[in-house]
This record gives sequence, structure tokens and C-alpha cells, in this order.
Amino acid sequence: MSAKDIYISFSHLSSLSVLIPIIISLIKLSAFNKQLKALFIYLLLNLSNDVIGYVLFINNTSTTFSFEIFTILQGFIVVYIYSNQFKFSHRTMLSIQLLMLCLFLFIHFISPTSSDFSNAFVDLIICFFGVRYFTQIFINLQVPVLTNYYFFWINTALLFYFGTTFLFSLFENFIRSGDETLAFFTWSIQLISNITHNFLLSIGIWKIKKT
Amino acid sequence: MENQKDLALLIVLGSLVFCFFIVAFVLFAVNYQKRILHNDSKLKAVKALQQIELFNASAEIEEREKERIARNLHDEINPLLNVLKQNLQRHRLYIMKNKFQVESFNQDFELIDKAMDGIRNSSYELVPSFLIDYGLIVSLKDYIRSLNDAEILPANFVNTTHYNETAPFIKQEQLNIYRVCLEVINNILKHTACSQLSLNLSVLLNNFVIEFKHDGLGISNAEVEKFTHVEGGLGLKSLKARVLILGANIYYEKGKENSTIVLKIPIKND
Repeated sequence: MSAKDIYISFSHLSSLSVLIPIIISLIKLSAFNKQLKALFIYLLLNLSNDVIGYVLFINNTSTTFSFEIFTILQGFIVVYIYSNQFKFSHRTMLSIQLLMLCLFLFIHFISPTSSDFSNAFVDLIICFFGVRYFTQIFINLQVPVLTNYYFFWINTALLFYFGTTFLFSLFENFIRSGDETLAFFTWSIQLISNITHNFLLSIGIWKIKKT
Repeated sequence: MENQKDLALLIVLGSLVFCFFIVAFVLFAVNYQKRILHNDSKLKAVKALQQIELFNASAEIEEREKERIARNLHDEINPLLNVLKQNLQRHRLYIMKNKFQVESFNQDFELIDKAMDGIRNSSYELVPSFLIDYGLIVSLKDYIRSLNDAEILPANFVNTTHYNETAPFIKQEQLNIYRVCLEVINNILKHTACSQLSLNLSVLLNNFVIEFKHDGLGISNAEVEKFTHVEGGLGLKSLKARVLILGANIYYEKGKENSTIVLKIPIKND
């Protein structure tokens, strides 16, 4: 089995794994608040990105543009989720999203052919929020049992995925242009982290209780 | 090409290190929170146990007080009344025989006075009537005066509050404060070998402050805490329970020349 075969297997598994949190979301939909509805949209966005990417790949079309749109939308939604969690005002949330968009466009303007830095930038913002959530838990101690609380799992999923893929995002074009076997290997790691991310999100959504 | 491969490997390794740190961070967060919650529940259990201990001590003290009063009535007043009854029977007999003794009859009045004193003292121990009639401040002042009159200890009373007679507390609270004060003074007399005592009343930041200042052997907060939890430290336990009920604080300060005990009671209903 070649590195490419392993990559393709993980790629299928990764695309399918997003269906697990979506199915659980559909079961628990009645208990969803605004934050979780945003998470559901985030999951649907992930699924549609996989489908669009696959269609574009079959038609030999570049996925860069669709992937960039996906990244910025993903960033917006995750900022919305964390803003809800940290009880940011609408103004603060919109300021963060606007700043993110400006930086994203700025990076795109500097390097129009590469999406490396813009993706890494979104990863970094999400990691910052993820770590902030844990520090807030240490300070406030408002969550009685951490592992029973849904947002702990969601935060862990986001922190794990975006933290692991940060370096891959930063050097994506470099990896793409290098040794093919190593590229497939690194992408396989990224896919494994995506599967783990979907699995952790599923646990988080499963832990949601009706209020 | 080789360099590119090395760099790619470095990226993979870097990402795996990132991943490891995130997992370690999350596990640390979960464990840290568990440990804090565990310590918190342990602390709560210890506090609950201490409170139970204090209330048990308070209940035991009350039982002992009741026992003492019952013994007082039974051992002092009852014999007096028995003697009086026998004397009255004797007087009746003497009257019938026309041998009535006025002197002996007059002596019986002393017995009646003694019995009345005994009853008064017992009822005073149950609820000090003086406190009920005149309030906390006058009662404390009177108690200090009685120490001087009985030549137990030279003591003085200073009141710098704007409350002259009525303290800003309900009767039950006043009774508790009074009992705490009596217990503190009793402890000072018993354990400090002091030669003078001063009781100062003041108001500080919405707290009614009662300061006991003496020139005897002082005691620190830590020592009091230690003595409270030894077996038999019933008086201190009861004192602590009363302070707890009042929502007050008591501080012990050990000095070279003078030592103080400060009782701070929050004023709720001024």
C-alpha cells in the first residue's frame, strides 16, 4: 500500500467522519442554542467544502478559491461560537471578524497565489480562543465537571485540529512542491487530526442537555 | 532536495509536537480542575464537620447549664424549703403548745431570703433578667462593676459608641453577645493571671466592636484554634458557635504588656 493509497483511504474516512457530528446534531437539534446552531452550520460548511473540493478535483479545476472562501467563513463562524461563549458584545465580535477579513485580504493581496498564511492566520486565532477558554476555566472554576460539559469537547476539538494543522497550513505550498510520499504522509496526519476533530465534536454535541 | 525533505520532516515533527502539547494541555486542564474540585469538597467536608462539632459543643454546654440549674434547685433550694416546711410544722406545734419562739421564727425569714436568692440566681442564669430589662450595654457595665465590687479584679468599662443603653441588636443576639463576653471574661480570669481588665465598646465600619484588654498572659488566634479542637475545649467551642451564629469575628492578639481579644459584630439593624 503506497503513501498515496493511505492518503486516499484517510481522505474518504475524513470526509465521511463529518457525517457523525451532523447526524448527532440532527438528533439533538431541538436542544441547540445560537452557538450550537452556528456549530451545525460550521459542520455543514465542512461537508460542502469536501464535496465541492471533490467535484473541482474531478474536473481538474483549482480548489484554491473555494478553499479560501471556506477558510474565511469557517473563521467567521468559529469567532461567532467563541464570542457567544465569552459573552463578547456584538461590536467586539464584528470587530474581530472585520480585522480577520482585513488581514486575510491583506495577506491575499501580498501573496495572491498562496493560501498558506491566511489559513495559518485563522488557525492561530482559533488556537488563541481555545487556550483562552481553558485559562478562563482555571480562573472562574464555573464548570463543575469539565468532561460533562459540551463546550469542553468542542473547544478541545477545535484547539486540537487547528493547533495540529497550523504548521501544515503555514507550509502547505512548500509541502505540495516537495517529495510526494512525504506530502501524502503529512496530509494523512492532517486528515487523522480532522477525523479526531469530528469525533471530539460528536462527543461534545452528544453531551448537550436540554435546558 | 535532501534539505527540502529534512524541512518537510521538521514540519511534520513540529506539528506532532504541537499536537502533543495540546493533548497534554487538555489533560492537565481536566486533572487540575478535578484536583481543585476534590480539594474544595474536602475543605467543605472539614468545615461542615467543624460546624457540627461546634453546634454539638453548644448543645452540650446548654445541657450542662440546665443540669447545673437543676442541681442548684434540687441541692440548694429544695433543702431550704424542706427545712422551712419542718420549721413551720415545729412553729405550729409550738403555737398549739403556746410555746411560740419569735427568734426562731425570725431566723426562718433568712431561710426564705436565701431561697429567694437561689431562685433569682438560677433564673438569672437561664435568662439574665437584667439584660432583658436594661439591655446589653448596661448589663456589661453592671457586670464590670460587680467585678470591682467583689474585688475580683480592678476593671473599667469604656463606651465610645453613640449607643448608651440599647445596643443595635435583637434580644437573642444581645443574649448571645452577653454570653460570649462572660465566657471571654471568665477565660481571662481563669487563665491569664492578669491584674487589670478593660472592656471598651466602639463602632468601626458598621461593626459593633467589643475589646477586652488585659495585662496578663495573652493568647494568639492559632493557639485558640488549637485549644478549640482539643478534647474538652467545650467553653471555646461554645464561644465559637455563638460567634458563628452572630456572624461575628473574634480576634486574639498577644502583646508584651497588654493582650487583647476583639469581638466584631456586624450591625444589621441600626
